[in-house]
Amino acid sequence: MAKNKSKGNQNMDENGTILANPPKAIGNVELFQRLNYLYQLSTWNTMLYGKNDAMSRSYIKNLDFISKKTKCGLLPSIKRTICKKCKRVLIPKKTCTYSVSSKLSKRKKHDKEKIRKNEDFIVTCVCGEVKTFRVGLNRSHATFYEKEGTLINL
Amino acid sequence: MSSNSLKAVEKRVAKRRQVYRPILQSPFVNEEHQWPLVKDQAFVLEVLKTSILSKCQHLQEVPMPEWPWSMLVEYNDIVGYLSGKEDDDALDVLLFVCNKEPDVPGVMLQQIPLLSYMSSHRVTIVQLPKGSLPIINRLVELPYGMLLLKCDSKLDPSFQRQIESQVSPVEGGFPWLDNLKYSATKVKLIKTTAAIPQKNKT
Repeated sequence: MAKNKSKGNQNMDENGTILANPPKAIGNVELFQRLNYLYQLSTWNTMLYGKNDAMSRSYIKNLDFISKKTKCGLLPSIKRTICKKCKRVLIPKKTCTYSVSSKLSKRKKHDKEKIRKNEDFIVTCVCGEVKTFRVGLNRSHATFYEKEGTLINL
Repeated sequence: MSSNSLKAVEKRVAKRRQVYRPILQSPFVNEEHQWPLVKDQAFVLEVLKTSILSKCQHLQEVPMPEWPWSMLVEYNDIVGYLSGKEDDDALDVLLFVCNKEPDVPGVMLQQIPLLSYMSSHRVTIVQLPKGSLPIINRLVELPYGMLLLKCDSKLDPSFQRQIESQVSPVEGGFPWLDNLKYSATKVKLIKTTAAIPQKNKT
């Protein structure tokens, strides 16, 4: 009876999406706590022992494995600081370098507008792995998570 | 009276439902405390304009290394300088950042506070108010909304004092760098939608 009543009172927006209130608590908090602990431990190890610390890499390997198996999501602010190849935490002056470059032939390098459109932001890990962000295509680009109203505080 | 067209009927039948998924936020990214607070941003911009930028306007034809103060505007130069090897003569540095402009990529800005902390130089990050980049670009072109000023003998010490008096230190910015301090888990919810499985009536 109650079920039917709640079905009848469903709020729907103009796109046919049933609206719901955010939950007051979340499940699997301990998994998130574990991921958070592993990330901090790995970062701290990298800060202390530098790029050649195997323990910090194994912590991130565990973090990656747990987040994939349990489907616990990580925000891009975490994922951008992890090397996908060697599982190091990317910290400037310790494990990575930042640069901006433009892939243009020498003939086109006089055109400022073209240079700006072809700019890439490059993060290079000490293992040689390169993360490339095509910042030139859309300078005001924001990921889904960075858009206003997407993330809600508990 | 509601219309009975096929489209209207389709809209009345729910296809998706709103869901909230938990997601882990970085313990070291705290938007409120990542950038040092500047008390009077308009005053800082005005001081920068009158003391440095207005003079730079007249130096357009002079190459930058010959300017009366040491200044960097290119991202690679700034990053190279901040991540340089540790020197005995570590300098005070003022780094002006237009971090509220849509024209400056967020992914590049995210790295700046950490890089400044890791630098062997004493970096004071000064965030500029929204809308300051077009004003500055009229005087000096900042391709990435960043301007680094080295506080060496060329720079007026009163200018440095005026700027630094307006900047308060970062509150709990990077706890793991100072000492071992565990930061609590920050879990947020993503507001998104999921498809409702359709029941086949066969």
